[in-house]
Amino acid sequence: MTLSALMPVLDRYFWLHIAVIAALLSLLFVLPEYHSGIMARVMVLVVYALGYNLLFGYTGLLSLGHALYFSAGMYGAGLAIRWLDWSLFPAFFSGIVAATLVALVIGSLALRTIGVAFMIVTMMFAQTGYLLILYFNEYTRGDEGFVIGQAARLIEWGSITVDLSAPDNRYLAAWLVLSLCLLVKLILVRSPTGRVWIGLRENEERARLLGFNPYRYKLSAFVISGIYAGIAGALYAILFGYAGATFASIQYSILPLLWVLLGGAGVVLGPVFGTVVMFYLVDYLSEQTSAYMLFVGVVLVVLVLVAPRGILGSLRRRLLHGLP
Amino acid sequence: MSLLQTQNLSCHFGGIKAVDAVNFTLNAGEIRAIIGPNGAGKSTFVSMLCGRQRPTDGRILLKSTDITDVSADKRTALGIAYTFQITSVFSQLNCYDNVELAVQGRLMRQSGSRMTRQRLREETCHQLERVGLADYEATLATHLSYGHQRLLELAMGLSLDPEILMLDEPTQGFAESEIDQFGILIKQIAEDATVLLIEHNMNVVMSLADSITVLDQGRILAEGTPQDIASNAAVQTAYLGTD
Repeated sequence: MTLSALMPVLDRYFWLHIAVIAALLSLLFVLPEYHSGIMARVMVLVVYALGYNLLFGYTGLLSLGHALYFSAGMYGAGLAIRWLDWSLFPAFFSGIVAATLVALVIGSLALRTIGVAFMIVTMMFAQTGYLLILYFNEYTRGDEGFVIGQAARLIEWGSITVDLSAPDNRYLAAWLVLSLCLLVKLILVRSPTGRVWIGLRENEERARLLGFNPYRYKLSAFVISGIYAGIAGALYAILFGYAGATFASIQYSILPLLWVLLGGAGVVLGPVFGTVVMFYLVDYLSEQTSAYMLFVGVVLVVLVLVAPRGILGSLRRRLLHGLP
Repeated sequence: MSLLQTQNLSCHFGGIKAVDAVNFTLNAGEIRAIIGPNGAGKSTFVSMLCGRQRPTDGRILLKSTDITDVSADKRTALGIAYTFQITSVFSQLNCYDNVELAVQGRLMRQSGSRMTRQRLREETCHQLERVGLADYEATLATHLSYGHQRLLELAMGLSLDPEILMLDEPTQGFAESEIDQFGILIKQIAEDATVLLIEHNMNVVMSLADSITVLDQGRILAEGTPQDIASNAAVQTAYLGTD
């Protein structure tokens, strides 16, 4: 394989992704502060969902334990800052490394199972992670979590200092990471490896008899998806200055699945739309009623009935043929 | 020259001996047909050869190397391609993407080959043309007729550039006119590959095969040229019964 195979295909869909990235940047200048604050948070969570989509939407593997990799990233960064006084960049990378290692170990075990067993095994490992965070509450402060001080959220470059706790900087940092993750994902799913993932999703036996080792390719999807979760978790800790066990709970394993389903599984941009819509839906409904989850449930049921392929999945079928 | 050989190859499902101690030799360059009544163990036998089914007993040798424990994907890399009895394509992908994945697999395995987008494109189009599906490039596999799906599957097998191509009932679902074209194609393929064919259509078998192996109740009943088999009394009994 040569490097040229990894260069992005500069077709209209590439530019569509660039346009979405540009639109997200422009929102910073248009949105009132409350909403740009929400969008900064949403963009970090989109990174999480982008990775989830690689595993679920492209490779066809439904994990119910991705909160483990998100929290590995979050605590990998957070604990390094809290207990080792690491500065921002080393802490960020320690979060990513932690998530990568956890995903590699858990993935290599969980991928020995398939279907429902795979869902249960991934979920059980994630619950174990959650309980470990509670058990070691001396270090992690358990449910309560801990705050990451502003001092650790500064980027210092010679005489320039960027404070990532400032709203605009936070937005820009989230946008930058999201943009990179989105483009890498676009390149990945169109790469030879990405095509094998899709082949495995469509017909594993056929892919195997074309000479592809399913285990190896599934593991690569699992780990890359875990890395995305880790990036999101570490970024969340740094931008919002908090790490807590809630992010390791089952809820955070289910959410990316819902975001991806809503936006369109197997569409690169799907999670961007899914996460934004779901986040605002919950935000709006929770102001109206305390039973907002009930309405979220209704929306999901309607979605499954009307557009089972999600927002972009349905659009792709009708208008945007060949959208990666 | 023996290319593929089995020694006492068996596959038992509980008390049923689907394949029972078969000693079989496939020679390089030939077109071999495997025939036999329903339930004779043909598909199970070929599934063991390509690695989909684990044998209960016996050995499989590829050019004198034991490949009994080699996984199916590695056997593909060793040059064994298989097309399924029940069509198995990537139904939600278009024809081009189906074949491209097969071409990609081969190019990734071939050491020293440069896999560029252009090369992938050229080879994929070539394979589609070869089986006559060039016009269906952008058609979803699931929207193809059954006969065309079989051809697509054949194109995927050919894209692997196999040394041995195993076809499990390839002409099932073909129209008469398609069968003739298929025969020509198989003759072409056989110029640089060994073909192992499970086939029910006796006209196809008699016109294509260099030699025929007859399986019955998991055992080899007879083996020989099409003429030998046609005149073999035991084969006629197995197929037609005695009166």
